Amino acid sequence: MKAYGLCEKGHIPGFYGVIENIDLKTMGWETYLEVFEGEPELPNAVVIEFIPDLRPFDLSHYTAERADQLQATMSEIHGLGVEHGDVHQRNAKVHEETNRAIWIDFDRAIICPLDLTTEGQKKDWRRAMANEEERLLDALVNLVSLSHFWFNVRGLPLL
Amino acid sequence: MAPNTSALLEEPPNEGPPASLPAFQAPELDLSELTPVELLHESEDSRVVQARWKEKDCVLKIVSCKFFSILPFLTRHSATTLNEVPESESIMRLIHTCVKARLTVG
Repeated sequence: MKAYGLCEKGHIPGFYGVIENIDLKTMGWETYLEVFEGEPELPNAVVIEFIPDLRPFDLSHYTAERADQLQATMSEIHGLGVEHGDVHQRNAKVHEETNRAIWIDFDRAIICPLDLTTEGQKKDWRRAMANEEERLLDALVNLVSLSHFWFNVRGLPLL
Repeated sequence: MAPNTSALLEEPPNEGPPASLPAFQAPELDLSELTPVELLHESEDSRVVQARWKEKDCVLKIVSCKFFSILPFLTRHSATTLNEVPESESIMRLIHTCVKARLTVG
């Protein structure tokens, strides 16, 4: 995704790099790393953009534009053969200052399986994966949109 | 005139991005280049720390090797997907999706 410029578009956190086999005695980091002592292997890490003041994509931060952006970004992610793996409201965020809708937390993400060798197999996998996640995303957007309608347009409390 | 059947059997022209990600070499950083700011989140197998790197605010997700235990979940689409490659490589492939950090601020 980094290679395809998704990070630069600002709708997923920017990716800076990885750190492998972290030395638990790295100066200044000892207190953060002591929990990993005694494990058979040294921990790894990724370094990504820090985005302050992220808000949840909920009815108070809903706009149709943001919903569209979340869906468009997820389509782009799927188009690259990546499944987010945790399409959930808690991972859809809004950065009001820049009016960005952002997907976070790709801990469960998976990429197109290595044993799919033909383009046809890869496309089938991608289609199945995208269908599954986009169904979840549609449900999420519809729920927030509907909540927004009832609460803000009709002035009715949520059930 | 008979239709050109071979043309019908060919794969359609490749449009848009490829079906799988290209090889991507993630930049390797050195922890000593980063300055910790504060612990944002912790779980049984990870720590999420806000830090400074090259005058930028960043988030560092440090993942325990215990994280490897979730790998079976990742193979649900293909029984052999990740079993055929070394564990560390599997993890690095995931990391290369540039998504490993759990940004739980806000």
